[in-house]
Amino acid sequence: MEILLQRLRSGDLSGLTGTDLALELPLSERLVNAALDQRPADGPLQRLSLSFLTNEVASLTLAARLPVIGTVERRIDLHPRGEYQRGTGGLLYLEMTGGLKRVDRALLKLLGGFVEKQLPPGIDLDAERVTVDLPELLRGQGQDALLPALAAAKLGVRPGQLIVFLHLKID
Amino acid sequence: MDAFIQDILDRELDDFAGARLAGKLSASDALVNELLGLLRQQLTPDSERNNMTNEVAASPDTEIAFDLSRLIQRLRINTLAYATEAGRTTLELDVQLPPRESR
Repeated sequence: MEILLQRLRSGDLSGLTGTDLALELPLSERLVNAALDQRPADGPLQRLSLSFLTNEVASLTLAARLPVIGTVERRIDLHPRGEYQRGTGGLLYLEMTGGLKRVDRALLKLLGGFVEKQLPPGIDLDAERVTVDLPELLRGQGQDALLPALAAAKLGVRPGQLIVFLHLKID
Repeated sequence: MDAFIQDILDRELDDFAGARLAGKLSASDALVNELLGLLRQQLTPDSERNNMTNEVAASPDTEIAFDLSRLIQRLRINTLAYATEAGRTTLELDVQLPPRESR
């Protein structure tokens, strides 16, 4: 198995032509939040966590220290949208419903300034959505050799889990 | 990062409960022979390895510990079928880490 993974990482897919696999990979709420907790402790964000309580809805909770105003806490619902397709491309989204649009400009400015710096290339945050550009994300992680194997990808949410759907097809 | 990964492994991949891989894995004869070469090397006593002509570099040492056999024992195997065609070996598979509620 290790040699197969090494081949994929190096972009050598020649021995695996004809492979056609669907991978459904759930990521637990614990794991996602442990990854979010890897951010620097000295930033303005006091809290940044995701919960997955119902199908197709993730809930983002963030608390930040703002000058003059003090601590502001917001809870924002996110809906997984979009799909990546090899050939045509496409972006994956976590679309916000209302939440961040109502947040005052100071918090938005702070998020834009601080969170963007923490996000890896390929993940963007604006007032309406979190966008994942999969090819750019993989390139940023030095994993772009995997792209020729990736036929399609999308996100989903189930209670307690963020789901990554991948279609791996090597022609 | 190693501590982060070790924590995931210590939980026996519970963070991926319900993960499912289904479809066809197709490998060329050359790749299968390469894998067999690796297997042969692993089964060869250390004292004889220098004599092997098709030597492959040993896996680098890692401090991350994980018992792969325990993971394999927990897998739910719905389909596992082997076939061959000209110059290729294929494995039809449908395997799953059981969802949390079914443990």
